[in-house]
Amino acid sequence: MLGGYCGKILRINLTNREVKEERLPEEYLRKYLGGSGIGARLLYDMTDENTDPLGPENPLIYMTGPFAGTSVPTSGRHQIVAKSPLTGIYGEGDVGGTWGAGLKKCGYDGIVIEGQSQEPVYIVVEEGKASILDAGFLWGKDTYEADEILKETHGKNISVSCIGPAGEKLVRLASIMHDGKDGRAVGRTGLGAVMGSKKLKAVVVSGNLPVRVIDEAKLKDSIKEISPTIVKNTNAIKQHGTAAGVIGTEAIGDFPLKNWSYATWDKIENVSGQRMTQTILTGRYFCGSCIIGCGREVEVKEGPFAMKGAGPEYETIGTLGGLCLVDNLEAIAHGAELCNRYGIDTISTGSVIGFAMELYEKGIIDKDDTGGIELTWGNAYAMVEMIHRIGKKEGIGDLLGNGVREVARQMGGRAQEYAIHVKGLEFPAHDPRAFNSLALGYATANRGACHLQGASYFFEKTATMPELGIPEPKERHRADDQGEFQKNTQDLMCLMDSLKLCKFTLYGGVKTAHMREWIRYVVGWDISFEELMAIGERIFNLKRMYNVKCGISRKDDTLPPRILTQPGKEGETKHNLPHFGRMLNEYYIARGWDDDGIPTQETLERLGLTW
Amino acid sequence: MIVKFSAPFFEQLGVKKDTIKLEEEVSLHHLLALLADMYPYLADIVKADKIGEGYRFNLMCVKNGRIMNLTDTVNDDDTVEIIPPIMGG
Repeated sequence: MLGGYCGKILRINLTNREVKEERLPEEYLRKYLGGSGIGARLLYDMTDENTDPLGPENPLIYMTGPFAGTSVPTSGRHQIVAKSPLTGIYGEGDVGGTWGAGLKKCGYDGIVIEGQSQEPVYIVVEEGKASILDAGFLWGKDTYEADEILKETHGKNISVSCIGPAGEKLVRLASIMHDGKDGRAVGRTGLGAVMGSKKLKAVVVSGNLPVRVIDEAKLKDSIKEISPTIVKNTNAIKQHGTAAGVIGTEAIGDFPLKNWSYATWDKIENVSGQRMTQTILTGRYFCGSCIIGCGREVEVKEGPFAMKGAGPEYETIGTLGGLCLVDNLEAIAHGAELCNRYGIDTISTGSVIGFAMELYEKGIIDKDDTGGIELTWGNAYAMVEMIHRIGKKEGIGDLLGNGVREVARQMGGRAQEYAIHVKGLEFPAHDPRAFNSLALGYATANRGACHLQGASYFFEKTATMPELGIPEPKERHRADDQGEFQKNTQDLMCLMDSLKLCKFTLYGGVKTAHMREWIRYVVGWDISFEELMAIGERIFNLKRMYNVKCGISRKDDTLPPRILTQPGKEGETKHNLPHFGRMLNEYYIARGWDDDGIPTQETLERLGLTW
Repeated sequence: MIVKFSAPFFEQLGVKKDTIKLEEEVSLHHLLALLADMYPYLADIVKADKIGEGYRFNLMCVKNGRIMNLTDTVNDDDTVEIIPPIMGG
């Protein structure tokens, strides 16, 4: 019997209210590992280009990894996968918190939720069973309220995954939130709207079953050896949160400003993690099995932006702050809390508000469109009001909640020039002009513009991975070596999203050798480096093949003209991207794809993706 | 050469930039050792790691837009900016 895995998932059909268990064969587990890998395979098998993301045929897939519920550092994570209503292609999100380990302790590796309920419902998973319950009393509640009510109903030892009013109203930027005021989000690709389309308010897990570990003693020794390095190397994140890097990113032209138009910002210190520590920080938050502690607890005690709960992360500061030129940290914290409560992605929300501010500046929209709001750069009150309108799907928020691609399509004309996205997903808060590899990563990530599906820039600032040819951080503006480098880091991230390890462990010195050790000690498999990387490559290509089914090809693997043609920061770091087409060609060759970006038959056969 | 200190370093050090006279080209490793001797606050940071490659987890040095490795060199005509580590997000 394997360790780590339960070897079974729940299939829950909300149309006919059927709940059944399904075995996961060992061969399947070894081929896709868990999390993102198994989620991708299930989605590939269940849906195609004709699937309506908001229809009953689109499943909502929760998957853990083999380490969930063990002491492996940062392993209490899970993945949610579905066809995205924002992009129309492969959608997924990775999240920390306590829910993943909670599901594993109920005796399940994952849940596949199919169909649609007529009335609001929520699911309660306990040890070896699941129930579908009426959620009438929860419908309309924000995510913090829903978490509190469910804990009053089912006890404090549960973990809650839920949507807010935005998901209920099918806002395409809707997130799925976890752990109440701790605000752990599956933010990207609009999966909260998929949950809302099923009239599913929440999934509660409550269990305490042990997770089997094959060699507990060796696992303990391995973790004991690496943990001090993880703690030491990530001290800046523990001290100041993910926003520790705000000042540095601005200094090197990485921080996004004014809807990605050329600018530097003399207000950057006002929104830094260090400033947060000095002003509104009240505590720190650790996900399950985490020894890093990037989470912030903050409080704005009074004034128009009063709030108390999860503090804004780097990405939120970059989007609600930088892209909108809002330098008021209290307003950003308040905006972040509103996004969490409504259940909308802070990255896409800040991006679409910054985009709307540029439309307002250029005269493409005016006060008649905004409902009388002066949507000017730096207007913190306007930023907050736009969040309300998107969350409630009111006024211009009804339009903005569809994301920048759709807003630009409906506006037409010059609005297209200012819409910054790839494949319909808004950019996260890192500028590809600051790291050449990010340009390739954003253009080819399977869920659209994403910094974490390749995380190549980790290896251009601090992280190393000698076994992937990265003995020291690489130079960020180099033009060569990008194709193979991007392929390797993307495959590695597929592994981490499937094993369900936090990517910050890469800063902490975690290498593939540690992953192999933990697989051996937890699951009982001896996996070579070559096999491990082949699994990552298989998962990446599987997602690509899903997107190919949905019509994705070379024409979509690109960046907006503003990013490709306008220089980055002035001064010492002024920089243009190298020839993007050349980088893309090298990448396709490294991937074993044809000139149009389609995996060749030979590649698919090599990876075991023909069936 | 000129060394610029970004926030939060300048708040701790009391200066936004400093000039150091270099007689010859030196490694970043050497420069950090010089700075550690000049500024006790920086000494606490860089010497905690004994100025190993892990220095990037505590601060970063940027020259002409390049995030520097310890073996990279600087000379008297250069400007190096010292910024907080870039992690997270």
